[in-house]
Amino acid sequence: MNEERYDYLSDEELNSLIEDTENNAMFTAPPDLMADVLGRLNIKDSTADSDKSDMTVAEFKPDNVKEFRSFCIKVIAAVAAAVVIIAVAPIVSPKLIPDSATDYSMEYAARDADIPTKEEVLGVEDVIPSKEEVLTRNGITEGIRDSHIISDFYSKRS
Amino acid sequence: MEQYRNLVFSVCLRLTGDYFTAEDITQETFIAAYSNWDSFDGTSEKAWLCRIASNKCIDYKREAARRMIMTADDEMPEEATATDNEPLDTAVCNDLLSRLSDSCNKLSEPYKEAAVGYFIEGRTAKEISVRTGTELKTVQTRIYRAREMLKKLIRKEDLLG
Repeated sequence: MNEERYDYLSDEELNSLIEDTENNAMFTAPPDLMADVLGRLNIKDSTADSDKSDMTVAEFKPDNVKEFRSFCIKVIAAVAAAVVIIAVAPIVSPKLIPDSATDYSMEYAARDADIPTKEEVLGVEDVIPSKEEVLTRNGITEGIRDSHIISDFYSKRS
Repeated sequence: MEQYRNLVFSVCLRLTGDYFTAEDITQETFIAAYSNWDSFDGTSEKAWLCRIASNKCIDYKREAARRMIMTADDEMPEEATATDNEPLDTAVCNDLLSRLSDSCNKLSEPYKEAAVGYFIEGRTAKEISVRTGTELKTVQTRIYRAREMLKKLIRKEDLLG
């Protein structure tokens, strides 16, 4: 409905509006209008550029160089301190660093001593034989899957 | 393109009937024109700019009508449909500008000085700054605030009157 009420101007209507405005109704635009337009265009351009690349280039300043140097010195000092600690610590207190390989093997050896072997566990006489063992003992090695052999076997047994 | 700024602003003012809306749409028109310069066929820059401006004004009026609380169709005055799409004549636009002038004079200082200098006398912020001996940033801020005050004042007067 709104679209019906407000139609776009036809070329003829637009031309007559321009002509009438130029002849009778010219008003002065706000003075800083174009400066605002250019300002908004610059903002748009800069945002478009920043969208293209997320990388920002830091501005070169002498203060930045000083800051970078102090950062490098701090990093070097931290690395040197770490190396010194690694080198000196075993000498200063050897008990603090355990011989991990020895401790590990001894611990597992002690633990293994408590575990019974398979033979100890299966050393009982009345172990129920498996199906394959029974079949092998009775000379049946082939065609185990044939149902009549299996049924014969069970009937003989019973 | 800049030579047409008064024409584009005048067209927007006649189509919208609101000084500040006309200002905004004029800015948007030039931004659209600069951004879409590649699509310009090169025939008539004036007609092209006015086409963009008029289409934006119509879009604005459609959007404004959509925002209004609509009454039933049979309660709408029939005359409205016939006259809504017509541009305002010179007398009405002059009346708008004289109301803007009155509103500027109603503002309190220092916004009155900035508003009169900028909107009525047509001085730039820099010129006002030099004339009054105030910092440019301060003048720009005063103009910005004066604009907001004027918008409220004029729209309130429209609502009441």
